[in-house]
Amino acid sequence: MVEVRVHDLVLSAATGERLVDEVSLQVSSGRTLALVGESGSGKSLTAGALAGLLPTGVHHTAGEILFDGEATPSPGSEAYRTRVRGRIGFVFQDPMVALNPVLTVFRQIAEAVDPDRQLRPQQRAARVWELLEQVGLPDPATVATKLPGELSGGMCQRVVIAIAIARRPDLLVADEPTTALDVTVQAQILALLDRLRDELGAALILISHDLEVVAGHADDVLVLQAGRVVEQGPVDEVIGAPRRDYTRSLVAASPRLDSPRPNRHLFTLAADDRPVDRARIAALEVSTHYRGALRPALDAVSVHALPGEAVGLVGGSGSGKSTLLSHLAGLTSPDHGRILLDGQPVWIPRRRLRPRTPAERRAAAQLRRSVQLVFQDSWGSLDPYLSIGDSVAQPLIVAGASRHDRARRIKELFDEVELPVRLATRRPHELSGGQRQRVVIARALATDPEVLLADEPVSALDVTIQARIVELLARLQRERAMTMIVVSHDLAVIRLLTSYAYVLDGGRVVEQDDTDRLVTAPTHPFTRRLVESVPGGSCLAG
Amino acid sequence: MSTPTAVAGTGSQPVVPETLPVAAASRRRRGVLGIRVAAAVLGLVVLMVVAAPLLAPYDPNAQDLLLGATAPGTDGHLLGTDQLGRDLLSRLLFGGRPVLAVSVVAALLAGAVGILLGVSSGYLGGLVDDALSRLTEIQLAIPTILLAIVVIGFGATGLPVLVVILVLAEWPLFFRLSRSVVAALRQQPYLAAAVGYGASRARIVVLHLGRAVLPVAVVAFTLTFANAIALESSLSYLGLGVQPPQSDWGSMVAQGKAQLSDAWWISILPGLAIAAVVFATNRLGDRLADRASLGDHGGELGG
Amino acid sequence: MTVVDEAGETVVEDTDSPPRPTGEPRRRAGWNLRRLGLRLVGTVAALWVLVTLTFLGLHVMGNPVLQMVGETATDEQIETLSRAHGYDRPLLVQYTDFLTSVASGNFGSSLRYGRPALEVVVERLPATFLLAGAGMAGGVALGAAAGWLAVFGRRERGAGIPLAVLTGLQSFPAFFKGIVLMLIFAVLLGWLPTGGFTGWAGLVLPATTLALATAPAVGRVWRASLVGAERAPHVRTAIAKGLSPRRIRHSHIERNALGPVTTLVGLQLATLLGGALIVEQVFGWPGIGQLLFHAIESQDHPVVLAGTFVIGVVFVVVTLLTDELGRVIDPRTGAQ
Repeated sequence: MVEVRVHDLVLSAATGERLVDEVSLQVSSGRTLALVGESGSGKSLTAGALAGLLPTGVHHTAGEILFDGEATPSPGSEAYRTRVRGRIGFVFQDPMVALNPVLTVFRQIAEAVDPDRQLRPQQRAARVWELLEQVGLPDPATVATKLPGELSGGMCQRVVIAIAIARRPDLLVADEPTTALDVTVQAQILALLDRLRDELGAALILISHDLEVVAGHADDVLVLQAGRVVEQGPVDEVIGAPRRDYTRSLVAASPRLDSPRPNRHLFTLAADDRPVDRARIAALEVSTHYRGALRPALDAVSVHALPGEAVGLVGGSGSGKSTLLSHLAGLTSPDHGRILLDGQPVWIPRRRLRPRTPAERRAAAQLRRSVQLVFQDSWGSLDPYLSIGDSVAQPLIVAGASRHDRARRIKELFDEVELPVRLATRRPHELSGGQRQRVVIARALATDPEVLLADEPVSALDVTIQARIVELLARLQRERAMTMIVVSHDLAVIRLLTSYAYVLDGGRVVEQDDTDRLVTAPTHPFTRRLVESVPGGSCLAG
Repeated sequence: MSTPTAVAGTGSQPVVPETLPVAAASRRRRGVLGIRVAAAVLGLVVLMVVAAPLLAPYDPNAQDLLLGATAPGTDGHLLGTDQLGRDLLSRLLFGGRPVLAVSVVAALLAGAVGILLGVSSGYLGGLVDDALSRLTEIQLAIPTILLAIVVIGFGATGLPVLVVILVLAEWPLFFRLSRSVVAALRQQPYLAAAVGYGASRARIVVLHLGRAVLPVAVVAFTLTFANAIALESSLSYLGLGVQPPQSDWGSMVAQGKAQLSDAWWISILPGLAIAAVVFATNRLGDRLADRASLGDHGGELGG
Repeated sequence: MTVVDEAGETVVEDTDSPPRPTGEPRRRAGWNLRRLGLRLVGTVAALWVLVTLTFLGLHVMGNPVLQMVGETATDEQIETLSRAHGYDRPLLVQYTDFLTSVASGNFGSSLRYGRPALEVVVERLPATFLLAGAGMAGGVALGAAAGWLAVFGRRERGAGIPLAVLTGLQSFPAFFKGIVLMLIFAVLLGWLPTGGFTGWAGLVLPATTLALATAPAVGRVWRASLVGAERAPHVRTAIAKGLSPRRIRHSHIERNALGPVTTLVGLQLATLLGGALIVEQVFGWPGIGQLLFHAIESQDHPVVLAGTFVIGVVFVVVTLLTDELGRVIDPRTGAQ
């Protein structure tokens, strides 16, 4: 049994700025407290302080932490770490980098079990095997000899958890433990944490930006904004009936499977009436097999989108959805199958259509420009050496627009994506993630494409920003009557943006249907699992 | 490039690990010689060497056998004379000409060749990349000095040959650096996006990749220049560089070796000259490299 | 017991599953035959290219007979001698002959020494190995210490100075460093001989020169590697485990930083073994480098070919060994 209390904790940067501003919280055995907030809210720092891990430049300036009523030395100090040794287990965010890449799993867990080398090797080993079982790792004898690089994200996270519980801690702190993981694995890891909390009789502090995760797994919730506590209380109260505006906006922004869909009125096409020969863009029986891979990345996949339709591609990592999108965008070629644009084949196997005459080349270029792709990683999508105005101008320059026209178009585009024009001279690194994503969308629109492809357009963004970008995409599709294909692992986003969706798993289309039906009445087990994994999904699916 | 390595889940700040209290000196050292001082020293030397005909008090090849070797500070000879009575200051000034000339030309040529091949290799990938990379690896297997000897064996000695040898020795560095810059960027979506809106290959290479390679190229140039000087003087120490009566710092050191016990300055002074130039150039290159990696995000290019 | 498999399905395994293991598991070394095979092929190819280039180079230099006979020879005499040595045959024939004899280890007789060229070259190996080994060992010791200090030492006590000094010394070309050392320790102080293969005393100066030449690179790479490893996220995990700072430094920072340094040292050692010509020249050390230099000057073709070949073999063998060693230390090396 343990009770941990934080009292008016203040953590400051070297400049004196308060990164955590008088935060108080309390958690005891058998209960889970969630710390929720967006980036910069101070939630990770607070958790770090509890574990005694503060980054350089961050100092503890006021407040204290109490274990079972006893005060501890200043968090961040060596003395604090000595005092709480063995009593706190920390689960890191990105398991692939939290583990030492050159040491075996066994070695790393053994270190956690016995940091001072006081046990006999037999005892140590026995405990390691015990832990491997406890966290549910399959085939422990083999896994133990592996290096982290040889394991999947989910398995690495189990190893990290094993390390965290090695000394039977009283308090478990999990910092975004599932954000770096595939959507289907997330649910299992969270369930594992719940189970371990009960097995150890410990308290669990869960940090997340995802309100839905919190709703499903926490007893109490603390909402942080810019280092201050905005609201706290039992989870049903805070999320079900938020009192403060910020909390309310957080709850509203989380894409849930039952929030209103912006383009609902456009989703009138009956799911059965989607003839392929009327498609704006289509991939027919497309297969691609990467050399050395165990199974094909894509296996006879057919998807298409009608003019003005918004279609979704859903699946986990490795499902082939990004590969398919890349083929549709014309960036890569499939091994088999055909890609059609307005009925014209863009690519035919064994007879690569290379434009020969200048006229053909112009036509090919024109075709190219009518399909544009918005990438997932907004960092890499913009040339870091160019100002964003120049980046958006590039397609116009290549198309031969005059300087005057360019200036006009840039202003139009910026307006369309709701970016202030004065930002045009800034470099990408000076903008926020959401702003960068708008720039990428603006550049994609520069050629007036008829088809817009979006690869995980919002996954890298904070939740409130996600909502705004989703709104933007929906509005653009509406106003321009664009054909859109959206790839995402997040069913909720797909549901908001698209009317018809294909579910991919292991390179195959396992189910396709009107998005609403997919979400409310999934038939294929994989789809069902996806729906259940979306927090808030279990309330809808049968 | 400081792209966040941690997960792109929330757009939050990258994971910042704590530094151990025992690991103190991880910050960048602020050297004694900053960019300005290094550049100044280098500039001064270059100026003096270029102005040798004006500055040298004597004809560098004028012998005075009766005088023989005299120590620095002797009457009329600021830096002394060598065993043949030739004024060392004048020989130093003139001796720097072949050294610097050859090194600059070689560094520029090596840079041009290396960058061109490196960017192409990194961008095109595949067979071209493989072949060129193997070539540089094979070249690694051949010690530069021996490469030089073999090339010299082709016939005449002399400055153009030295330039060829130096270019052969130094181009791999430019190649490897620009190739790795390009190879790292090749996967970046913005290049794919450029292909998407119809940018030609040439445009992508010159506009996007070129800008990324530029700071690296500048740094590589200074380091190559320093290397070339050291290599050139080593070759002329072996007697493979300029031939007498032309003076060259490396051969001056060789000539003075026999006199080491009586007139050590004959060898030591030209050696110090070499060391000073190499040091200043290296320093300049290091500082520029520091600036370049900081200036990747923010700060003007071309630094 | 319930276990989760890779696909995420919860599976109930029967309780008679294999008993829990005891003791620490052994990890297979992972010798990838395919990779080694490819490496070997590449090695042979590189050697072949090397030898061919040398062969061509030598033949462009002119008829070696001319070098042997001097200026007073008549054309007839030259022709006779050429035919005797086989230098008048078409190039391709000479080349194929050459390749077959190389494969059997026969490089012909040294024109200068009159003994089998390979023998002349190989007898120089001990001296070369000795010098290269001592020089590299010194370089690693100096460089590693200086680099380590620069990262983990105390700034106020000037921990960064050794590395800075070494780096500064890098600006002095090797031949100059050798001469200065010779001046101080041999000429002025008279403690050590000025050169030649005269027992241990004769080794000190040339080895020190080599050590000073290799130490800066080792030190800088080691330092950069340590700094990078120190910043890695897994260090934070190690701290959270409650490990002592020394243990963290050892198992999580130094261990991870070894990779690049090992590669570098291997490369430097391999290069040194190719004959540290300059240093050998300065100190009169009878190594392969010197031999090769004089052989080229005197157009002793057999020795040049044999020497180049031997150096090439040594180079690739050493790099192969150090790469494998590097792979054992840091299993990620392959992917880099």
